[in-house]
Amino acid sequence: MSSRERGSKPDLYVAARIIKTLKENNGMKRTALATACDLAYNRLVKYLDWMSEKGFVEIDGEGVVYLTPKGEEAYNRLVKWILEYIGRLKFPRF
Amino acid sequence: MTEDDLVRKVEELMNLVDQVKLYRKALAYIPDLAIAVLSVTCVSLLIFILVKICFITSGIFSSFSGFTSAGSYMSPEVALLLFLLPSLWATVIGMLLIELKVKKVRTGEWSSLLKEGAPAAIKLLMETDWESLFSGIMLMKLWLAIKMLNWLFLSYIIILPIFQSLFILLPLPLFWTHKSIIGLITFVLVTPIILLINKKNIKEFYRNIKSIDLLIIDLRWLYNELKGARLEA
Repeated sequence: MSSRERGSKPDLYVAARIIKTLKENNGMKRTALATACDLAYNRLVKYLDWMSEKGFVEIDGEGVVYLTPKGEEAYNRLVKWILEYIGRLKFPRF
Repeated sequence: MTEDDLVRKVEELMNLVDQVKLYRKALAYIPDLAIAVLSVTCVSLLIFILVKICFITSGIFSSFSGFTSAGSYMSPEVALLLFLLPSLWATVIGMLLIELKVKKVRTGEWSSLLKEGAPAAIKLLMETDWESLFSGIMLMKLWLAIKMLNWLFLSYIIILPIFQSLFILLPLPLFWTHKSIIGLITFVLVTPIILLINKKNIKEFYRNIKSIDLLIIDLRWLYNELKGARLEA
């Protein structure tokens, strides 16, 4: 995370992208994950630190990243929660 | 409800953001349109003065133009022809030109990002300038009202002279043939017809205004909730 990000909450887009990528290909090397998420390696590592602290991902000794059920649940809850509000919107057609 | 539903809903929201962008652009042209219409009105006035000075006194047009050489009397038809019609036509043409210009505005730049799925939908939601969106939606209402009035004016311009001509041709008592009476009666008769012709537009306008109001309420709710959005299990 950048110095600006460190002081504030993490970018949901980046976190959600990491989780979505791991949901699709669970068990990825950090470098492959950084490429798949189109993120700078250093930035990914900082996000992974934060996410493993929260228990959303696990990293084994070989540096392979796994999505935990907690991480998947957090992602699904976020999507469901946003959808709950945005789902109510009725857009007029002009 | 799935991630695809979220993406679909965000796509609808972004389409609305694009529409707001278009309406903002359209409204930005309104001062130019006002200047153009005022210029047309001034030119009309100038032509009227020139015609009056050059020809009226010689009596060339007095027999059919509605002018009289005796005084400053000007029939309502001529006044309408000289001032109202050119200005209104300038308004109508101006509005059509604005619509053409607005169609050239680039939209849908977010669509490639949205292909990434739910994370991109979240990003777009987080990066939306909500306050600007709300004010833009209010401007959309204003634009819809201007457009509606414009169609009503256009209908009057087309239908009113036709009815006035028909009315003049009818064999009526002398009192009824007075110009102001004919003008008033045709206006009263034409108004319901114009409202009937524009019934669909008026209904649609009312429905759109109502749905915009409801949308603003729901969007404000979404905006307030999104401020507290975070990942947690």
